[in-house]
Amino acid sequence: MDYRNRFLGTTLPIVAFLLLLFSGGGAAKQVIPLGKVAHLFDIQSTPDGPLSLPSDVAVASDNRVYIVDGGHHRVLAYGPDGEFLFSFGKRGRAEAEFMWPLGIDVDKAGLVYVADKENHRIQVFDRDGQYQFGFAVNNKDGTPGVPIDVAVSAKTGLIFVTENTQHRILVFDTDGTKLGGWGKQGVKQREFRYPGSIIVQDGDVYIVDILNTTIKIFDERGQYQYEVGEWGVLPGQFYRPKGVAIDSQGSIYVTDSYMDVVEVFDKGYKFTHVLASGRQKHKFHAPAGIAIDGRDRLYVAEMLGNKVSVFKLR
Amino acid sequence: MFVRYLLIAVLLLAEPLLVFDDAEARTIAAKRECSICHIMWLDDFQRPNVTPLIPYDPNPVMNSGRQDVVSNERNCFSCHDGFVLDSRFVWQNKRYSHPIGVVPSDKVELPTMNEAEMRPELNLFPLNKDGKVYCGTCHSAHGVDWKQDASPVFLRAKNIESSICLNCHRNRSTGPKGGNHPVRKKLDSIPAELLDKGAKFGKDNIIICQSCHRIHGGRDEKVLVASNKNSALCGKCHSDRYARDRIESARMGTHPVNIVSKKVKIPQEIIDRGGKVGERGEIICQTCHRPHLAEKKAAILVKRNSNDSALCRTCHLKEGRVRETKHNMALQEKESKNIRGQKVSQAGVCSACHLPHSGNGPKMWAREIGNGPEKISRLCLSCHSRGKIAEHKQVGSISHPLGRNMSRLGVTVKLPGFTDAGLKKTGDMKGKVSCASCHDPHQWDPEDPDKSSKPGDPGNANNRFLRMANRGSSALCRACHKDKAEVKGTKHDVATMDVPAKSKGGTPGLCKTCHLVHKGKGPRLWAKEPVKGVDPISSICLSCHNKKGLGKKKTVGEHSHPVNAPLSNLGIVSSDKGWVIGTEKKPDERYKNRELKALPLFDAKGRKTARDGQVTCASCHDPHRWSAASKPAKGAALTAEGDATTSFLRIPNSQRAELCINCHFDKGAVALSKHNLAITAPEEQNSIGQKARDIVVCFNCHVPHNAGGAKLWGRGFGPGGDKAESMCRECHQDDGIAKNKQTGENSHPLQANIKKAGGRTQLPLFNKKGERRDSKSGGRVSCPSCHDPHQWDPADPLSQAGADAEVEGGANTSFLRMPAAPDGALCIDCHRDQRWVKGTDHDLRVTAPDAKNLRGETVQESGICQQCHMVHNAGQALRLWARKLGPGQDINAQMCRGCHDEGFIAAQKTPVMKNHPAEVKAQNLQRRARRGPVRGFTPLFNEEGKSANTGVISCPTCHNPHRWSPVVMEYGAGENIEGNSRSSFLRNRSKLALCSNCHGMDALFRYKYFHGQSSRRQHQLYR
Repeated sequence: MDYRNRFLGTTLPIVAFLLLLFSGGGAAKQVIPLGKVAHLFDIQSTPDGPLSLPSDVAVASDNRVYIVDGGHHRVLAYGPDGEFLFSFGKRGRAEAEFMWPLGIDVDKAGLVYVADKENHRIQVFDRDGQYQFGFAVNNKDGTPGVPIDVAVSAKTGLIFVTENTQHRILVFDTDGTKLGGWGKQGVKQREFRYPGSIIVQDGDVYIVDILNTTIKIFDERGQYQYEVGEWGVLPGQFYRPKGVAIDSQGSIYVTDSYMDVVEVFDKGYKFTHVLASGRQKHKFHAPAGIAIDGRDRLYVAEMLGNKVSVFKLR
Repeated sequence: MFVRYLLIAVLLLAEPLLVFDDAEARTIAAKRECSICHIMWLDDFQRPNVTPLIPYDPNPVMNSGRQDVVSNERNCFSCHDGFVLDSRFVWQNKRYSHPIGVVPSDKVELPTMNEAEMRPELNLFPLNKDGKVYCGTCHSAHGVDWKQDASPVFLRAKNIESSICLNCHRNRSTGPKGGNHPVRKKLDSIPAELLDKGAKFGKDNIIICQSCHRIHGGRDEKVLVASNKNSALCGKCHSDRYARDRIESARMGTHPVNIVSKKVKIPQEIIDRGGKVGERGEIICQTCHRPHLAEKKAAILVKRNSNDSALCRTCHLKEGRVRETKHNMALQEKESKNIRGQKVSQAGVCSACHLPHSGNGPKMWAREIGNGPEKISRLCLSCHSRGKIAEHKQVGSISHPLGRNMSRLGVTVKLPGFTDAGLKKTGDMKGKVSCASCHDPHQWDPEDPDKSSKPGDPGNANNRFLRMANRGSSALCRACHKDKAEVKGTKHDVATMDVPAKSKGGTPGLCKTCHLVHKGKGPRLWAKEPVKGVDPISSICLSCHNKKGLGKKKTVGEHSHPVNAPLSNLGIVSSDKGWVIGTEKKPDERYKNRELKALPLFDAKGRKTARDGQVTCASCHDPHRWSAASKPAKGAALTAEGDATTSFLRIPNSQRAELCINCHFDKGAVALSKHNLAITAPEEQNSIGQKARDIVVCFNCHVPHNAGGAKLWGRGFGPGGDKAESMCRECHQDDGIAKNKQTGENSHPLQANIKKAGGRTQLPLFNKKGERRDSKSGGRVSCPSCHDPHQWDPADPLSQAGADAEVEGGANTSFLRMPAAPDGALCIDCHRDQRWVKGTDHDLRVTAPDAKNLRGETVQESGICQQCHMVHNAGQALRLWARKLGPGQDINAQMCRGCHDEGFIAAQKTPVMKNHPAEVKAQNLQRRARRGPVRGFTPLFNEEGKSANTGVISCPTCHNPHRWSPVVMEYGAGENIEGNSRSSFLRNRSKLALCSNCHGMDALFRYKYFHGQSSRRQHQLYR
């Protein structure tokens, strides 16, 4: 590339931008596309009191809802209509105890996987909260890893864990045996800056790359596929993406915990709308983990709202 | 619009020139990195034709005030929510975080930047646009090096061992001398619970600000790392001083916390000085201690407590008066030191004896604990013991008991007792007696608590650190000993006596005249020298009731009710449950429904004891109560002569003798018999001139004191071989009130040795003095051997059939100890060899049930023995014969033939030759006259019919009328059967048999010839 080309490549857009800036006084302001959803109910209490900083939610095939009640170091179980069933775990480092758990998933068999963050492990429970097994999350150098979220492939049974001290995706066999992983800190396709929530859908692994502000999609072998969203505050952009979920039609739902919105992309990864209540975008309170059940009900964990709000998507 | 389209075209043309490789496209611009926090720096907020998802607001008004958006907590949380970094604890318990949105108080010194940074006018820790503290005051991504390990949290300054805290809170790091909790002090160990809650400690376990405070995620006010409700946080490290109730306090020797004292009200001064109380007004650590900004050199106390114990006395107002008494060590013993080695001048008046922390056991005792039976008393004895500083004020070896349960008093008292843990208990009977029950060591004079005293000041019953004045009516003593208060105004109230009582050791008072609380002379804290030679309790009674004593008019005499005697002699078992008749294994069925009132018994040291206690004066007498029945009119108890219902008796003694029969329960039936002289001789007087109609039934014959002899005899003595007989014959003699009931000339022998009758009996025997003794100790038969003068009917003690002067007794009544009819049980209890007569032909129930003796009684009425023998008033002296005599050549034959002869009841058992030839006088050489008859010896009889060495052969020579067979010792068959040579009431077999001595082998044939009609006829030798 010669000097002239470089000059043109940089100067022309600037000139054009300035012209646009000063000539656009009469341009119409972009309207934020909204997609109305029906709010069904909120899950915000237990017999012991309100939830504390719920960070993630998972829904089993029987529509039983599991919520990480991180401030109380436990997991809550609710019925399909939000009725409290039971809780399990408490603060501690022993088996079936938690230290600041964060992410959760349920596999097709109904086993519940919890990212027990400060205990550096994944713990697995049956549908009734009985401890099954657990495994440590360690980095390649042997240092304890910090698991953020966990997802189980319905197709292969592999367990995927986001780890954010070395910004990697770790892969475990069904029994917790570590198989490998990918990623490191960075901005490239297979690199992350604080990988957060993770889901596995139809053989694709969706990872929220928080500070790279995008949803990165890989196949189960770690091959980069695509990514959704970008840095910014405009519709279709993210500032603090946290949770990701996919509905029955393949639409991708992403929470932004600073802008307090849920943005939706179609299965072609194109932004479509922001969830709305009435004519206004629905304002969540620090939304994080998110899940959609087989009935296309959307569950949003609002950390500072201390609740999980439930919506009917269609 | 044209311009716009033109520009778009230019951009499209230039697009191919915008050549970036992939790596360059993902390179994060510095501006973007800044925008991770500085969101409002994003250009999209400035573009007119786009609509950001959030509005442009660079300085929003937050809950902490107006400030840069970058420092608002939502921005922080968007990363610190656990997904990037994890500071969820900050939001989990947000109410206990370092305050934001507040203007710094004047206690905070905000440092400015130093000169080197060229901005000395700027705060190192900036406030927000409203001048308030906000997140950005302490935090900034541009603060210290991110890689600084000790300060990785975007702080504006390094935080080495809480150094950042001290930038502003410098005045809280000055240590105890500066009025602050120590920092940088090394701990031996760190409570794991604190670490678990997020507390931090410096290198080598030193205390830092964050050891107690957690700036974010705290759990209590003042951003404390754990709840400090009721000083719980303080207690984590100071567990040895965290006594959460009085029991722990007493155990740990430290001031209690978490209690609400009824006695001590936290004064407002304490609160004004920064002291705090718990939610319900409890005293907590912070009531006395102020961990920050306390008065300087006050050891972080809310008030200096140095040499005058000012802080202690702020709450403990009453106890503070000790300063003016001789218990102030500064007055008493300046140089003595407490267990911390401090003199009173260093420790203060209170801490000379009490240390708020690290004391010795209860009351946080600051001195070595002495020996004693009870915890609180040991504190007192730590000084009031030999070799200690109050050696001259000891209590002596006989002192008021300590450690006794207050419940023994049976009533609630307003003086305190103390538990085993050393806790004061008042009014619930749960404590034990201690020195401090009577003494309040903090006030010299209970009536004037402010009154001062100094060493050497004489004490009296009104001061001496007593809880109540005790002079005069002994109010202090009576506070507990309420049941003793009735002594006032009685003859035992020495203050009312004509003769002034002099008790050793002090001014007389109602109680003190007789009792000395300390340094007593004998049991019961007796104030006089006790009399020696009797039991301890009686000894103190006799110290007055002797010929020279105050009670000389009321002595007990030589013959008085026994003391120091066990109840078991009377068949009573005494235990803590009360008195019962007989043992559990062997109850006395006759008295199973009889309830006895437990009277006090005493052990060998004069202590009350129910089990195995002894009878003493105080068993019957309550020296503090003139009358148990009713309260006498004022003064009456002083002047009246006592009777059986008063006289300090524990149970009023009416005619029915309730007090006497409470022990002598088996004697009570006398009231229902003709031996109750109130029935049979009401005008009869006892030895002290009391008429029977007026007195206790027992007193007719017995008086408990000053009696005339054994059995506390209260009457004169009649004739008799021993005193027991004499007692009976006092009445049963010719001029006695029972002259109609005499025994006659022919009566059962008295003073006889039971040995002659068989050697053993369960009936009582008596010596010459009338005292009960066994036969080996000189006991002989006397009237009361067979008679129990206290019960008419031995089978039914409650029978009233004998309560009539005219009623005639029978063999089953007549005050007999056991029935004599029909089996003759009473007789054969001594005459055991005669018992085999039962069921034989000589048991007239078998052969002649309708026959009558001389008294006209059938065998059923008289019993089997008295058909032939009459115990009293018999027809013959010989054998006390009770039947008519028959014909015969000697008296023995006449007795036999009174039945065995024609016309009598045994006519069919009459031998043809009715007498052995009278001219035959035999001599039995084998008889040992001195030693009595040889067993098996066939007796001869003299002219009087008595057994003799030489005499006639009579019926009993060959026959033993009481035993059917000489071969088998057994009762008769109960039917009339024909005898043979092995039965027929023949005497025992003997090779020395008298018949064969004379008649050789012909003896048997002769016998059969002369005794059997059929044999005499048929045998060839005698045809």
